[in-house]
Amino acid sequence: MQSSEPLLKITDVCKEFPVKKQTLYAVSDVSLTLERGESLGLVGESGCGKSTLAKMVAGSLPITSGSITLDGVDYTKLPKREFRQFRRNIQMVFQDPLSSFSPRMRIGKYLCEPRVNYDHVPVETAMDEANELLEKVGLPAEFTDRYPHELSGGQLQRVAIARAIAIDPKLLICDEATGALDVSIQNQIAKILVDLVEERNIGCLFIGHDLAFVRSVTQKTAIMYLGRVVEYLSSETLEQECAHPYTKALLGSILDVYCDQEEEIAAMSGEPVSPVGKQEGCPFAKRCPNCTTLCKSSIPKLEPVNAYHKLACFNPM
Amino acid sequence: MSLLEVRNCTIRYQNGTPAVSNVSFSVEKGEIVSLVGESGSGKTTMIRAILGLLPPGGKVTEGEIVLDGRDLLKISEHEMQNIRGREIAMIFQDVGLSMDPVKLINKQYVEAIQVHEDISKEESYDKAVDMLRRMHLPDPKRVMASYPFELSGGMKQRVGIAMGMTTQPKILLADEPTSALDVTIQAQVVREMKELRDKYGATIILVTHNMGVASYLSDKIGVMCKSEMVEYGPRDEIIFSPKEQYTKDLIEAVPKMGGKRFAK
Repeated sequence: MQSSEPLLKITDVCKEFPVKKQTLYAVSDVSLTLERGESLGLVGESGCGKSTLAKMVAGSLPITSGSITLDGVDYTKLPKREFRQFRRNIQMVFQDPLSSFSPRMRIGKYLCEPRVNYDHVPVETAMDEANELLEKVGLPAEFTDRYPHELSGGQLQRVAIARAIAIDPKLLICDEATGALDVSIQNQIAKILVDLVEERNIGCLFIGHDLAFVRSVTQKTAIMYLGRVVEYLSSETLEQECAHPYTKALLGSILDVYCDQEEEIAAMSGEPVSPVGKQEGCPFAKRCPNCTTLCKSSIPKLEPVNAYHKLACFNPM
Repeated sequence: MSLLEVRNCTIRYQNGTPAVSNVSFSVEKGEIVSLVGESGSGKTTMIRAILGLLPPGGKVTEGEIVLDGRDLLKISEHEMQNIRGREIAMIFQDVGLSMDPVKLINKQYVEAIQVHEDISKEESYDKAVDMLRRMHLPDPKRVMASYPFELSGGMKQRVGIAMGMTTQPKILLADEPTSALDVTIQAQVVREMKELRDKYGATIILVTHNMGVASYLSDKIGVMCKSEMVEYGPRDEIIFSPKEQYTKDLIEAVPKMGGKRFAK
């Protein structure tokens, strides 16, 4: 294990899907890194490619080009058999808790399965560990005998997290893990996740569409638009430092609880353009207030502004 | 007298435990009232009862719902049908699901208008196009000639709001109208709902779990928790000086920019 290397390194990853005779560019030239014990947030509108990227990182979707390394191992090029063993290092938590569970499997069995499958431990040992795991995510041990439909959404999501960490993964991917939950439950899940990431020194890729929430649980945030990362910066200072017009527009669209009712909403008009067909120029050009002729002809590259801030824009705000 | 008054309303489903217990609130003309709360708190049940569209097994067991002096619970189903769509309209969380997938928007929209008004197809069409334009839909004629699947989520939602508003109902009920949308599109729809009120004097009852949306749009907010309305009052009072601990917790829990961070 090289300690100088970041935990997760995504380099120039592209994903293209054939659509009839055209090509859909779901993810284009994305490069990101994630350190141990850190969370990276991915934010963007629906259809911007954040889930596609997550699936590629999880290894469930082959990449078109580029490379993804975890601890220095480029697992996208591993043979199938080796990859099956390697896969334990990356675990995922999904958005809809109920549909990611088998309705006929008791919670206990569900929690044992990864350990039995990967480490061939006896079921009894795995069951004891399951109880500990439940305790870790703040649920009573008797839940092992329950069926998924007997639990609430927030409780199920905690079980999903417990299962994900059962086999000590190095990377946890949360794809809209709190999207379907109430705000109060959302905060409980956030606390559990943040504690786990710190305690186990794992990396966490946190995908969401709520910028305010994602920034509260992550150290770094990457903003995606139409398959590209347009801005990458520290979550803590996101509000002050962001410079991309799209990030600004996202911020403007958030309705604060303490907002002024008289104030006009600074929402941008229009909707994202279709990702089918080759892009000419900046993907955001059609909705951008700062658009120039340069923006329409060439694509800005993600370049560092300072050590913790990268930006892809010709005319930042 | 208020336009709509809900008095001591209790609604039960078959199992007997109340989904809404002893809820009272009133809505004046031209007001936007929001019902907020967590899932399962009974807010959707409450507004569905106003329209007389409770799911099977649901029944208002106590209280009254009075619109313009008439108790909606005492009138016949036939009279209620005249009220639905004409005096009270509703838009749902996912408008796309309440549209016919194999009919053009044109056909469904014109049909909906003709059910309520005795006017020709051409007049209905013009009315529909005018309404879509008011909702800031670009190129309304193209929208009319589309199937629902050809429109994006935000566009469908706006078509839904336009359809609800065409007959100029006394009250528009909106059940989570922005929850399925992206923040940027949500902001656009919220802006248009505000305009409906400011320009056309619409009265809206909004059910949402998004405190930001409720806070921006409402004149009054009702906070529901476990079937009861724990607090009801003017927006400023609820947002800036809530009395109940539950309301405080709920507002506190909403993620805010520049707010509390969990990560270090």
